[in-house]
Amino acid sequence: MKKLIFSIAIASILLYCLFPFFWTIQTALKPAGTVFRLPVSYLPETISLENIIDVFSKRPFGRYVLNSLIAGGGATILTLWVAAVLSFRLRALDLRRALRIQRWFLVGAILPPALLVIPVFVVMKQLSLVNNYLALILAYTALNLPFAVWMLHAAFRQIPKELDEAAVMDGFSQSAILYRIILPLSRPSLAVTAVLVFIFCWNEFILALSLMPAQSKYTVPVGIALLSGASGYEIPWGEINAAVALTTVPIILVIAAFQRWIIEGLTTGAVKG
Amino acid sequence: MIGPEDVGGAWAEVIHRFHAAHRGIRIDYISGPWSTDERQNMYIRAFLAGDAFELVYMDVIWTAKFASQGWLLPLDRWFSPEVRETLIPQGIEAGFYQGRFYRVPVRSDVGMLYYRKDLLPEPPRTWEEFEIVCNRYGNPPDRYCIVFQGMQYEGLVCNYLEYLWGAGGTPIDKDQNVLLDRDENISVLSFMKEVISQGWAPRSVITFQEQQALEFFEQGKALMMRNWPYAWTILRRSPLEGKVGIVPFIHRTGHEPAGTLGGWGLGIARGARFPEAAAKFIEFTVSPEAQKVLHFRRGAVPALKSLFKDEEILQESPHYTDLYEVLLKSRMRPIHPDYPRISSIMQKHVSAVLVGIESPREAALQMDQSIEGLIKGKRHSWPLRLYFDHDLKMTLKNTLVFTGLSVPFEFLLGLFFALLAHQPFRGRTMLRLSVLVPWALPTAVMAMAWQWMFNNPFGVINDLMVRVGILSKPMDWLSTPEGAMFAAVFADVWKTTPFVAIILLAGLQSIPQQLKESLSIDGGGTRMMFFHLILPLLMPFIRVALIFRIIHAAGIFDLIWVLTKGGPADTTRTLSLYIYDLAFRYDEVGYALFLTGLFLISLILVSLLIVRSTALRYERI
Amino acid sequence: MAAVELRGISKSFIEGSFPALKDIHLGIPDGAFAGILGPSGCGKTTLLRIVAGLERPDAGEILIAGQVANRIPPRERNVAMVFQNYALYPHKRVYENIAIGLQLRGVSKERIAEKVEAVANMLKIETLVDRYPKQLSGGQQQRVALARALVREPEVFLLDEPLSNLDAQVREATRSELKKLFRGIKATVLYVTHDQTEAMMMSDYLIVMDRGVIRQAGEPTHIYRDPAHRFVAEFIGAHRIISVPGRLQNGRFQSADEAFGFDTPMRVTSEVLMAIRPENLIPESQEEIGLQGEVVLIEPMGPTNLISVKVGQTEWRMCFARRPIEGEIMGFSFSSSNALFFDAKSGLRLKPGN
Repeated sequence: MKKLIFSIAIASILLYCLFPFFWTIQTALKPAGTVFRLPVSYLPETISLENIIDVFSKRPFGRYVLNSLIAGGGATILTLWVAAVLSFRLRALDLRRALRIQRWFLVGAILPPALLVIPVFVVMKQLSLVNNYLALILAYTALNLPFAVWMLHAAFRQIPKELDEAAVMDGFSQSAILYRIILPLSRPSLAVTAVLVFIFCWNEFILALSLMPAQSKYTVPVGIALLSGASGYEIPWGEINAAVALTTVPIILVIAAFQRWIIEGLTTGAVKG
Repeated sequence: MIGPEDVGGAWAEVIHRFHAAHRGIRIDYISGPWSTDERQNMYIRAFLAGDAFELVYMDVIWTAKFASQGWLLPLDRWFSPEVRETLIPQGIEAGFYQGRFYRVPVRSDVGMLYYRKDLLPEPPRTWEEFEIVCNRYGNPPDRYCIVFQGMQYEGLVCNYLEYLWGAGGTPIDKDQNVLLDRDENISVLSFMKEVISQGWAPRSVITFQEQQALEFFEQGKALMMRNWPYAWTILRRSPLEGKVGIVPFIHRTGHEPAGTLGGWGLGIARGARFPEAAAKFIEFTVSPEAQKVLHFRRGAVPALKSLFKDEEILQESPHYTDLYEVLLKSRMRPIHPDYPRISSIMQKHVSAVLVGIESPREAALQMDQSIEGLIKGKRHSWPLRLYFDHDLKMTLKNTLVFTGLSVPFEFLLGLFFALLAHQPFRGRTMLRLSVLVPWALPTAVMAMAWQWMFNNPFGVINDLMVRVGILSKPMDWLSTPEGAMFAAVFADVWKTTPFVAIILLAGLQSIPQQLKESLSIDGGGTRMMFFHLILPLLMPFIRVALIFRIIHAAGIFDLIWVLTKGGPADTTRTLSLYIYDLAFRYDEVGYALFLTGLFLISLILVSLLIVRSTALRYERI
Repeated sequence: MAAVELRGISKSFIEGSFPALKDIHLGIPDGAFAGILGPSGCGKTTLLRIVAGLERPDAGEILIAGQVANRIPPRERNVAMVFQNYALYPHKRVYENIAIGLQLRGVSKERIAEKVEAVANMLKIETLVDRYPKQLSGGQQQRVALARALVREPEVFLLDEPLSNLDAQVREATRSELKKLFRGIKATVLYVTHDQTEAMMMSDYLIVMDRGVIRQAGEPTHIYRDPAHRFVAEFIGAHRIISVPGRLQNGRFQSADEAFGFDTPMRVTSEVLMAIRPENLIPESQEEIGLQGEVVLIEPMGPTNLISVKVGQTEWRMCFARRPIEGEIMGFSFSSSNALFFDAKSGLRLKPGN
């Protein structure tokens, strides 16, 4: 009996978490004409790729994906690089001081982007970087840096200091120690950090909306959100759901692959702060 | 230039012909969103970014704002009074701002009433006739009397002003006096409310823009429709062909009918690199050739006077003779650089009346005060302005409600998830993975998915609730204040519970097994275990999650911006949305920054308070 | 010529706090196997790291092979270091671990291969070169770490507690091997340890450090027999030295607890600590100074037993083949020439001469 209740509880959590995602996919796969049909059907009788093809052919969705990849990819690389250098510096300090510095860092990380968007926009406008990928890359780097430093610093701390010293004795320069010893040894953490930072960038909305106002520079979330004005009949729900599905499926695959490390990363990052 | 989706390929054809005549000039037409507000925001963001389009395809009401900001190039030197003479005078007049000419009207628009000739013997002209007609011929829910644009957006203001003008009112007179606290405004709002409450219009009109109204009408579910001329072309190709007539919008006995002047025109951005070429293109668009293309392909009402007497056109659209008269009676919405905000205020309160959260009297007075305050008292210092800022108070309240509802739910659910996921069982990995899913998906994108799921009537949530029996009939989630807030909270809880669960799970796992064992050897029961061991040791984790969640719930933007846009009647508009609008729609970057700073400081104070109040004794040592 | 010489080296990590090293003067003879011994926190590792160049001294000069090395970066100092936890690169194979120092110095590939092979043969790890450090036992890792140092043929080897991470048995075997190895190549070695047995057994030259200063440096047996400081006496020796507080006056020592006294050749008058090594106590005998007391603890050690006898406030420990019964009254004696005296305040050794 107890077991039954337990199983039901688990099943309802699964349903709760996955249903919206499921619903999006099933709407996306319905033939375009059958989306608006009552009664609502729960499983499409026929599966059709019409909506998905439409998203690419009728709308510049491919362009949005490319923009997201450029901004997200660029920001991920830059974030990782800067975070690696900073973490390497922090590692040289004693732990207490490094953690104190890092805590201040994290105060910045906890702020929602909605609070940062106006100052960031003003600055980017001054630098005439609006509509430039660099604007988003820089903003995302600043936004994700604290988190990345968190992750990498924790990873770097796992490597014994003697290894650096041995490397110094062997004749490595400081930068060679970072690139040839520390980074190769932190590869798993680098990968998880990169994945998480990329997901954050891929998902970010308000900065992309404000810093890249030209339609040719929309990222995926902005493109999808502006695919139409508001609720109603006219909105191409089939296509929207197709776009949503296309955006979310890769993320789900990635987190499925990195699940364990992501949970670890999230929790170490969140708790020690 | 950006315009709406190029239905019928009209613009493509115009551009094609222009290209053929002018080699070396290339015009790009970008399909923007259907909503005009959206497109205006796209232009504003582009202007603010200093990276404007060359050609600006604008609604009549944008002119004052764009021109006052210095974003437009005066066109006087390309378009002389003689040239202007050939175009509809109302359209030309609307192109002026402080004595200079900025915008050439390309297509005219005016609000009017479509009616079913086959069902109504005579269209109503006045409010009184309208009431009689509706009561006699309307048969809701199968056939409503009228549909119009009732969503909280610019279109609502157009509808509202037609009622107001038709009752002899006007929002702002020539001397910039706001006249909205007059009785005629109250009666207009009461009448509009009645149109819905009497069942003359379906309740869902409060979610309608032009397109939805048209489709509703097209399906034969309404006797009348307030819409723009473009609908004619579409209706002519529908089963309703020949069954529809047009008349000016209804008015109050003893007053003149009036239609809101709409229409689109072209201007040139100040930073344009090729103004000459742009001017050539504009000139071409008001030539008879291009005007005809726009007319035949798109159903656009010409801006060129001569075409209303053109044989070819009259043959196709005999109603143009009537239309021309209506057009010459059209009226301009207030010309003011702050029109967007004036309009937002009107939208908000008219919507509030339609939705039923404000009485007509309240709404009229609020509207009057807010607009008066906006026009006259704009020069308050920032701190003083805080005191008068009605929007701020409202959005602050919404933010608190949203945070106060979503955070507790997230914590209860999150704790429940974490306690379950902490148990060892087969498939635990699967559970943890699926819990990660909502967290990892983009909020803005999923907000679209939620919008679809909350759709009425096609949304799955309505369907499920009706099936299970929680609701007796589908509900308009996103267009009622409670429904919209519920939807936003629900989507936010779905999205962020996993985060809380993951953190709390980590906390549970950090509690050493020996402690639990030792407590159970000491004879502690489950409840004792929870309150005296688990909860205190979980405290640091709870605190982190709490601070993080409160800050993020209070700063919520993307979810609401996409899901409800802050509507209906601003009931889900949060602080972040307001600040964003200040900066990107109302050009008040300074005040927006000031509010951002205050917001930031209060969030920090709240966090400190949480740390203080949840720190257990032993942690302070 | 001294291979390594330190002149007035001082170092403190946090300004104003207790210094890690205070005005260290030291010369290590060429070819010596020099042990630096001290409890943890005494500054011995800091000293080693300063020689390596991993830390900069606040003051003083470091000379390596007669050259001032203060400003020379570690890799150019011609010293090699073996770390306590070996510090092997986990992502590189054994071969690369050994070879990398040479690679970075631009030695040709063939030459590297030759040298690595020679060293690997010498240390009997030639079959392990393709493995990763993780696949090696502790002893094997330690050899790789040694090989990495040896292959560079440096002027000075610096060994930071190289045996402390090994099991007791492996450690004993390695201890003698190490000594043979370095004697074989006639290298100068600086060897840090906190284990006094190891230090005594391995070093040609021993440096005893305590709280940032050198208490005594010299030949191990000499230090054992003739400690210059109370700390040295207490730190060195298989069993803890017995010390009795008391007073020297008129050539006589009187214990503070009035339990006993005896005549000495000492002239000074001072509060002192009398110290004597357990091995100099002879149970159940009548030497120059005889005492007796109650047996309070017996610790069997195989062939002999360590017995604690309480006389006055002091417990005297001594080795005794017979196993007495706890509570038994037992006599023992020692010769006054074996008694060492240290000033109670400064801890410095007092000798009859002064």
